[in-house]
Amino acid sequence: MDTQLLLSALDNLFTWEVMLAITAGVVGGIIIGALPGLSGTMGIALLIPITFGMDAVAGLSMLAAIYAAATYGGSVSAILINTPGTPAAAATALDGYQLTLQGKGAKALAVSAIASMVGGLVSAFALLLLAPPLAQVSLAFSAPEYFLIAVFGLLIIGSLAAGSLLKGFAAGTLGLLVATIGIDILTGFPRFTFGTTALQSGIELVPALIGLFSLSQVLVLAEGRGGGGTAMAHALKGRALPTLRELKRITATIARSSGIGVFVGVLPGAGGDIGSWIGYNEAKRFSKGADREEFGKGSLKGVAAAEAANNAVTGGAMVPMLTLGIPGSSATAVIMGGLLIHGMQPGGRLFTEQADTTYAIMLGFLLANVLMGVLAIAGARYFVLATRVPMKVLVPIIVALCVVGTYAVNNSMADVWVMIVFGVIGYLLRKVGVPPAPIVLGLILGALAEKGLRQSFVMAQGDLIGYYLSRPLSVVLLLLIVLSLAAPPLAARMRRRMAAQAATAKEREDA
Amino acid sequence: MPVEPDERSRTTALRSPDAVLGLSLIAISVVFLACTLPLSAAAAAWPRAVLALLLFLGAAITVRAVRAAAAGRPAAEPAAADAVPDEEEGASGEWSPAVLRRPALTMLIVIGYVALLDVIGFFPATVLYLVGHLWFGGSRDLRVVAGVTAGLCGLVYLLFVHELSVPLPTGLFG
Repeated sequence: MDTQLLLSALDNLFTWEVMLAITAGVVGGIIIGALPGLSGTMGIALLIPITFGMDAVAGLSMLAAIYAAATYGGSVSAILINTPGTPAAAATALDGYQLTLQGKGAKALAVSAIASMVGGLVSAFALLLLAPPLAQVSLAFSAPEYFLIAVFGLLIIGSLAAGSLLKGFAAGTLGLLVATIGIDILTGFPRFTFGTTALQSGIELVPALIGLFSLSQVLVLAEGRGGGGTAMAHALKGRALPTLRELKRITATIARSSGIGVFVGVLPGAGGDIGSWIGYNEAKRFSKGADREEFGKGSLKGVAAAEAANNAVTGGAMVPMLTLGIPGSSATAVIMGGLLIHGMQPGGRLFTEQADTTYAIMLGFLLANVLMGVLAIAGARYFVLATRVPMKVLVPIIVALCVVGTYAVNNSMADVWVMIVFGVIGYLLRKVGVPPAPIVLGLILGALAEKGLRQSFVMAQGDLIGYYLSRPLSVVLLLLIVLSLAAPPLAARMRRRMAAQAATAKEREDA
Repeated sequence: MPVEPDERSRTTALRSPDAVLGLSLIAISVVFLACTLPLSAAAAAWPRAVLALLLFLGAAITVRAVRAAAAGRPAAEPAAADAVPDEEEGASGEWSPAVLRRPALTMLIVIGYVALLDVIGFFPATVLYLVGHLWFGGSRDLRVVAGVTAGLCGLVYLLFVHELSVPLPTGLFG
């Protein structure tokens, strides 16, 4: 990044609007993450319409800030009520809750905040360093590669976001089907519009996103009696900030977990939950003697390891999303939707024609991580209150925000009905174990895949396979597709082994 | 004619959630494939390819569910059966009327709310909705109901009407 570009990006970043948006994103993200049942993905989907009226840097920095802060926020309920606010905080609960029971809840939260901040910062720097060169690769892409990238993205998120490969792929395919609704841009034929003019322009992304992630989550929450209330958090006790000695003890763990998190994040499809378990297990493996014995009984290292890793995943997961258009997780799939809505197409152009905006957003993400650390420590006592807000109060508020947010996109009631239909579809699909993320990605990538394949047919002049095999980049992508089909069983085995190891060790120590 | 035990277990297997999912995907594929018939070959090619894939996946999910039911085990693939859905809280997976009752009632309330928006306008409909849904959820404390209603309406007005200039529905009386 040259000086001129840096200055231009900083100029875009340091405005009142962007600073306010980042602060709101951090505070909102921590609260959303701290509430068990609400995820960062849902929060991002819900707030995309608000970013419409904002400048791209402010809007997208806010979404990135929510992602980072919600990942930390998940640890608040994990530590205080032994209920991970997000699956990525499951490993944090092992030691965090034990610390709370020992009267060290405040310290556990502070360590979690510091580790999350460092992990997030490392990942933000990795994003700044890794994304621009990787984006150069995408400049060499043509129609065949775009088709293969779309297939690769769908395979990856479909295979790792679901408990079942078939269901994940089915979800992605459903998304592709939804993307075909509307007038075919090449022939002008209306497809699957059933004579309705409202469907001629296709299904809008934002109503589908809000329905699939937010309204469907409301229905999931409604299953728990609409819902009752959350478990009462323990009052924060003890000294908040760790001592210098304690900080020294966890420094190496935070550094190691940050590296692991970035690496896991960059792998498309591997989310914060995998990162935090690997970080936790590695911290334990590297510990010796009494330090190792402490894991599962209230180890500050355990909290630091899991939290540094899951926050380091966030920046890493944005690398493939920004450069290749392959989101690494549900949250980055939704952020990619926000990116497209602001007229920013992932790939090389983000780092050339729109470089000042893109760098400003990445620097905004870096700043959001610093702010998150500061606010998380300073406002811990207030964020704890969020875990006490009953779901029965939150659910109607979320629904009203779903409705007004969807309506605001095009000032259209038809969009609101689309959101409701997708909410019901998302709920029913979740009931049978089909995740919403691949549907959204199918919806986003559908047009790209169709256009890429159609143009490939024309360019191949009859020999499609020969044409694909004659292009080195296509061959690389084809190999990645084959690898991605082999990856899910390995990832599932890894997840199971890590969780089992941690559980066995905890049982042994309890006994 | 009495139903044979084998036939009965097959019927039960076809009612399992995974089999219903698979069969639903097959039905969607067939209906949408029929809808591609009037399209030109160029416009229909991609949707047909997508639908053929969906049909295949639907059939595979159904076959797996039936086989799993016959073997008396869950239908999820062993390798990924315990995978955590990425960043999302899952639904219960139960389909009993007791579990579905509240989501269904919640949906009815939401549909009623959205239907009212065009009739009486955004703010009156939202006030009615919030009071109704909070009551349905068990919030009987008037201070909470009033606070949430006033707070949310104020926030929406400031953010969407004042800042973003969104013309919210005013209803028949607007």
